[in-house]
Amino acid sequence: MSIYLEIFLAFLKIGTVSFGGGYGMIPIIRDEMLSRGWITDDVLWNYIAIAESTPGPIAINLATFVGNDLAGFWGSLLATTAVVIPAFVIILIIAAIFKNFASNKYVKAAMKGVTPIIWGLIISTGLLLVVKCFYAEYNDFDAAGEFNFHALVIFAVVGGIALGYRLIRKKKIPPIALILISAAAGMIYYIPL
Amino acid sequence: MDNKDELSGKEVLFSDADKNGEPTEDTLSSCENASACKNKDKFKFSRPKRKDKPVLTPQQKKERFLRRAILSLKLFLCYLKIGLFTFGGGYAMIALLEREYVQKRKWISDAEFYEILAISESTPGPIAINSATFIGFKLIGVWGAFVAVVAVCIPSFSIILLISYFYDAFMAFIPVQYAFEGIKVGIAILITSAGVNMMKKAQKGAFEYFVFVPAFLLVTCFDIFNIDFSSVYLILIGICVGILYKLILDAINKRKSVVAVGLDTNASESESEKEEK
Repeated sequence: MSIYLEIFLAFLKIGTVSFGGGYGMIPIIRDEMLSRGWITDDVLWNYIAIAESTPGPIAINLATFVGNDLAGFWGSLLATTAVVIPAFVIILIIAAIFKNFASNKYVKAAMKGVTPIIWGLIISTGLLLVVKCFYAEYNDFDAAGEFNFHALVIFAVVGGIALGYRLIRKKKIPPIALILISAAAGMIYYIPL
Repeated sequence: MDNKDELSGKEVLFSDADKNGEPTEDTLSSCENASACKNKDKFKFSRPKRKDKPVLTPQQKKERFLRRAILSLKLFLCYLKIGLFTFGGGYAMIALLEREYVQKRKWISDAEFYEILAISESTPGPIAINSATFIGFKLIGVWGAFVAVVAVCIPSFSIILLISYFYDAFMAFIPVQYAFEGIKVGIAILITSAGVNMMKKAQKGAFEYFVFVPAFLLVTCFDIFNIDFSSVYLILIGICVGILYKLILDAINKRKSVVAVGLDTNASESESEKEEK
């Protein structure tokens, strides 16, 4: 199968099942990409960081990134188009034909079942990434990785700032601010003065 | 003569009664009621009738074309702006959308906006794309939806494409590598807190926890033990579990209402709604 077709189908699948916005999409993209061996966790991590600190929907940013990685410009165009198509078609059908879609009892019931799964996916992915900061090889028991003490310090600093911001300003810290702070923390901590 | 007249008069009366009499009206109204009851939980089809379309003169057609062209250009620019200035995903976009379309331009009403949000949340795909398609369609039809979606994708697509060309050179810098070591931690915190926040905001009952805990444990185990099981299936399972739960709840309620004959059906329905909540 040609790589273009494979990219298109993979992102079509991702676009069809990604409920819950950008964060709901991250676990699914990660799952699909890792199982195909298209990118590693580390690269995806960087991509997510860049996607979060550039404008636009996270899903579009990630699709463009991964598509370009796999097959250049046309790959990124295909991936972006594929991730958009399901949402576009479904909304068009709903807007043209169904008047009270969101208040339909079966739609509500399906969403009631999906939402907890999305929470599970996102929280699990987030926690696994936290653990992965400390142990790079947490899922390879033979090569039990060393504990990364630097990551713990950065975790404490960044987590403390995020929590402090939340307590003082009574709202969530903007993602881009959090990323900039953690980048600064990483640079300061690793560069020997 | 009189008799005949009376007879004919009666006949006329009778035929009138047959035509516009009570029985037909009664059946009609009962039909309407029944269909209304039946359609209460079904989708309402709201397709505009083609027959009502007025015939346009070439002049009017030209005017309409121009109006639509200008509107689609406005839509395009507006969505380009929104795509360019929203950081941090779909939910950040919602506030901007409301300001732009509901308050400033008044293209859509408040009620329509909330309908769009509700639909975006219960359909797959990025919320930005969902809302762009919907608003574009409401304004100019399929073409409008297409224009809005393309416009909202262009900024992020071109920016990321540009970045990805410099990505390797950029990552070769040692300080940047250090920065990304720190960013890893930040992203991990960001994703976890996003998930926890979603959970905090939502209404939760026993059912939600009953689905959440196994899903969480399963995903974690799959990742730790390197088991290849796509999250796609988990989501499909979630949809099935939700609908199954609803069907079982309905069946139980139906049985209850059959047993309690004296109860009004409306009362039992509202009860079931309360139980759900």
